[in-house]
Amino acid sequence: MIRADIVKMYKEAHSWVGIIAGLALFIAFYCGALTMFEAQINSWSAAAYTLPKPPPLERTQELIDKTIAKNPEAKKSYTINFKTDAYTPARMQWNIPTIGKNGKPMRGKDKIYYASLDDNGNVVTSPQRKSFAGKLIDDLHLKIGLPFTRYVSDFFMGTISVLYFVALISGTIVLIPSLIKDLFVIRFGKNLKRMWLDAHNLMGIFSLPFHIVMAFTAVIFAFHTPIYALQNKMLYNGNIQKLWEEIENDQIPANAKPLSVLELKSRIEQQAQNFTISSLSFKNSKDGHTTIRVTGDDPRFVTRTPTGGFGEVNPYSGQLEHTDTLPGFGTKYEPVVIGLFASHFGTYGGLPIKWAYFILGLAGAGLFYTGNILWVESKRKRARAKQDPSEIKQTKSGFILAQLTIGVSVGTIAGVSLLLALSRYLANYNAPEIYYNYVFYAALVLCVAWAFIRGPAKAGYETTFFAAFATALIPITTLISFLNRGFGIIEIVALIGTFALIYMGIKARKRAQNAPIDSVWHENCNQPANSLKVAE
Amino acid sequence: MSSETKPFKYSSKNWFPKISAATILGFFLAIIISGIFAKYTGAGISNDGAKVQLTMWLVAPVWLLIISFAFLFKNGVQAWLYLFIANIAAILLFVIK
Repeated sequence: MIRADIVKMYKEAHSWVGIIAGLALFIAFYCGALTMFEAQINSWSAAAYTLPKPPPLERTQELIDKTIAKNPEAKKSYTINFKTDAYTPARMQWNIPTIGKNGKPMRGKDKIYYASLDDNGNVVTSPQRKSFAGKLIDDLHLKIGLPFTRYVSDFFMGTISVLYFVALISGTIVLIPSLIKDLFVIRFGKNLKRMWLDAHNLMGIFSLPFHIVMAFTAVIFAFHTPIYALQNKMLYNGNIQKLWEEIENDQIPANAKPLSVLELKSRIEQQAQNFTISSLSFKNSKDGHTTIRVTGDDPRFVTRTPTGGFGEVNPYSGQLEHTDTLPGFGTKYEPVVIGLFASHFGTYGGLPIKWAYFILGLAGAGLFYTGNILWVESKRKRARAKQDPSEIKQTKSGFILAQLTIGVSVGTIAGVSLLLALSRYLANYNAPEIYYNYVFYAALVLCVAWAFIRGPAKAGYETTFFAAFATALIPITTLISFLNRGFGIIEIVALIGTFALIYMGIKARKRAQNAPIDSVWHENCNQPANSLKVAE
Repeated sequence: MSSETKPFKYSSKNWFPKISAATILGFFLAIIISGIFAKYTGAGISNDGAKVQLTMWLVAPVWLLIISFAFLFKNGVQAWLYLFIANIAAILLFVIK
């Protein structure tokens, strides 16, 4: 068995890395679970358009020609969507880059316009009114929504992910000695700490493979740039760029005419039989050179992005190029690399895996929540026999962490729900991206402030009821909104969430009244003494 | 003499020198180990974008395991010394062929 001093050392390491990374990881996991359904969230929150229905694919060329005739700037860069829905409402869209202060186009800031054909064959266009709800949830997952540059947030989240990995290994080492004895046992009853510990261990050990994968893939997502740079110097003699290059014969035949969209479609389908095209993006440079990027899905293969694979198509032959990022192509190492991406994104095995990841992600958030609760419990000052429990003053650290845990965890849930409920209106009135951040952070800051004003016990149930209300707003929005899209999976999940939060609120309220008075979870618990006195 | 008879006990107190050694030297070690993988498997270091990626991915688990188990060094000096020796050994293995 593992020596007692080693277990003790890892137990202390586990507490510390857990406490540093726990709250950031709660946000990352709660929002990460939701990104499993980012496409549904995007459709749910999309603005309403008055565009005519997308014309059939057969009329795509007509749509392209007429749109470019009317809007010549569209020629430079446009996309044909094979799949259309509420979030992608048009067959054709084009984008105009926004030029930043440095004179270069700003990434992700393109202005997008949609084009369709009415019954008389006239072009109807509409500027995009983008919903940023899905993007903000993704940003919260990637970097807690922090307004830092890419480098700073990568370093921050990378460090959090390293701590997370250390927490997993140390937690497992701590658990091993008692594993056989206590697994499957959740000791409900008087000893609350025991119950939290059992729940924490059960969640941790059963989702351990999931967590290990998440931790080390997240480290790669954060640190791949410095790793490549160092590998380039140490392993590849600075020649890494050459190893990436593919042998290409990109000669344009004389007098060649680019293929039509329908011809491209059939040639792509010949080369990749089960591949479903989502979109073709055309870029026409000034020298007349056309490049086409294809995105799409092959249900038989795992893909490396949450929305499928991508590659390039030769505009004159329809030949697929740069296929190593398309599902089902590439060298023998390619499936492994794609598998690593897919293991983080849950893009294998279809809907069941998405749901499994959603639940594992929420359970992960629960793991960090219970971890913090255990830390608070370990700081608890218990009344000894013959001592009046109401005389005991709790530690400052336990009190503060209890407040932070309630404020951040419940605030995140409330903030995301409020964001979703309001996102339809924000999108429809074409609100700028920053407004979405305001909504989320308003709820989060409110909950944290509330926890510090009211104390952990009272704030525990009050913020939970607030989160239940915010979550209930999602199906309520569907009922009263002018965008009648009907009840779907988002409303059902939100309703389940609402009832779960109400139930938790009721439990927390009972606890605030019935918990032992020498616990921070009792509403009349003494304010913390300053740390000197606590040290006795 | 009495300190020698006392058995060694691990403590989380001296974590900093151990973990800093693992973070820095462990990172270099992980890079070199990934290089050994790249050089001695399949067609070696070659024009294969996927293998370049996989080689990069390999760094994370190796580095993270080194950090996680660096607590098991008895002290900081030992951590820096052993990881330094491991780096030298790995570099030799990488350049030998």
